[in-house]
Amino acid sequence: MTVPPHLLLLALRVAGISTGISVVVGLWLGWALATREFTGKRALGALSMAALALPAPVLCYYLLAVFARIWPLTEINLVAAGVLSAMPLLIRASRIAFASVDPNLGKAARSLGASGWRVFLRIELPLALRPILAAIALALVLVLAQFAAAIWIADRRP
Amino acid sequence: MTHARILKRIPPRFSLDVEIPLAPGVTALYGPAGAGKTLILETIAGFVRPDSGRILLDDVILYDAQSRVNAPPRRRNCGYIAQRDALFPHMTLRQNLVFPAKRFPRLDRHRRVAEMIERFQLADSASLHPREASPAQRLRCAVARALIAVPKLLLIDQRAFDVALLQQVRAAFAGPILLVTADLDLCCAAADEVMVLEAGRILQRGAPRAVLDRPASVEIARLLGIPNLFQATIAALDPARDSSRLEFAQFTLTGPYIPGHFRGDRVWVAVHPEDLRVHAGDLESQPNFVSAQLAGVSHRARFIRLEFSGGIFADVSREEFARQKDNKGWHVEFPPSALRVL
Repeated sequence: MTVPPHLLLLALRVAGISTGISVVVGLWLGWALATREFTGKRALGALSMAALALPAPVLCYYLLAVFARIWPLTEINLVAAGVLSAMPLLIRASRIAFASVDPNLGKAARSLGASGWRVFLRIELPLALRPILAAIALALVLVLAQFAAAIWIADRRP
Repeated sequence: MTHARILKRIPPRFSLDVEIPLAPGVTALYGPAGAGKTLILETIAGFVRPDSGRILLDDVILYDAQSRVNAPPRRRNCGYIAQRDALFPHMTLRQNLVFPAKRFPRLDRHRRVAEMIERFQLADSASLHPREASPAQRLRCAVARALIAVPKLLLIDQRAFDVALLQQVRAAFAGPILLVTADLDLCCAAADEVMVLEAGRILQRGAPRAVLDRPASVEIARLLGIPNLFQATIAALDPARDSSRLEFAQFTLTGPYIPGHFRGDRVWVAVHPEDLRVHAGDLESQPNFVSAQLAGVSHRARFIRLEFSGGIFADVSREEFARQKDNKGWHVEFPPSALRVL
């Protein structure tokens, strides 16, 4: 059986866009969870863990059940589904990666006159990069796998 | 003016309440673990927000509870050398030095980095990462990095600091330095003022030698590690002859006149172990000689500490101990000038 080229391109595009969105938002949320104190921090952490525990086909089914009844199965819906399945993984991985960076390094950088952005880009991100890159690769694979499940479920939807 | 008035409560029990005027030169914070030394430094550096108080650095308000001013750490101009190694591990020592120098024009930046590398003997290790450098090189790099940012106040929370490095820092930095240390030798050798801190309060401040010679209370004497602390009753006072008689549990001594006390008062007496003299027991007993049994000998780096019955400790040189180690009995001499009434 051959895979139609347009479907392969669609899968790659959906996976790329949804992983890209997840990286930006997930890194920011993971960094905030690891380094900042705010109301709802525990709830956000628990929610991201719960979404991670949900199997991809089940997540896809519920997403399609909600979205596909309102809108037809479009690329945007597929990206939304991809983001929701990749995001928890990136939040979790980046939270652990940023938490493992010695907070004294950030303090030292700030006392040397560095802004919050500079501390993030020059100190925290480079030191947390390896596990985050591994999580990005995993998220890409997860979204691709979930894409297949989404198409399969959409085809057999009642 | 550089001045810090800090009040900070840390539930359930600890509270910090200190007032620290900082003059150019080294001010040492001396105290046991948990006294609040690191908390003071972190508060001044801006990493911990006090509950109340005011922090002024060169007349610039860094924190003021009343007017709700709280400058972020990066705008405080405080060089902070943390207790734990805080060199950026993914950068070489040179890159660590370049990091705070980024705000200077390119040529000026290179000049400053080169100057610090030379001043702190980092030429051989500049291309190494912190994990490849020795602890001494890492410490020198941390100091150079803090100084390259041109701070107005230097906060040092590094127990590995020695006299030589502190002298180097003083040669490179003319502003006030607040140093956390547990090393009294370092305080005496390089600090202009020492503050004895316990449970978030400053118990005594002054020139290091003055604080060591005249601890204000028995608690401070204990913190300063003076082992000879005895309770005594003042049996006689003679201001005309500048003398007093002190009755201890097991012996009586003659000391200098004690102003501000009356006959019959109970006082604490501190004696530095290096001020005591030891003699052979078969010598004729003289005033302020106390007969004692040798209970233990402890070899230290530069002297030998003798422990006698009755909790008396005396420090003698190795040569002195070699001369007297075969004594059958011992007399410990308490020179009147060595008695410090607290």
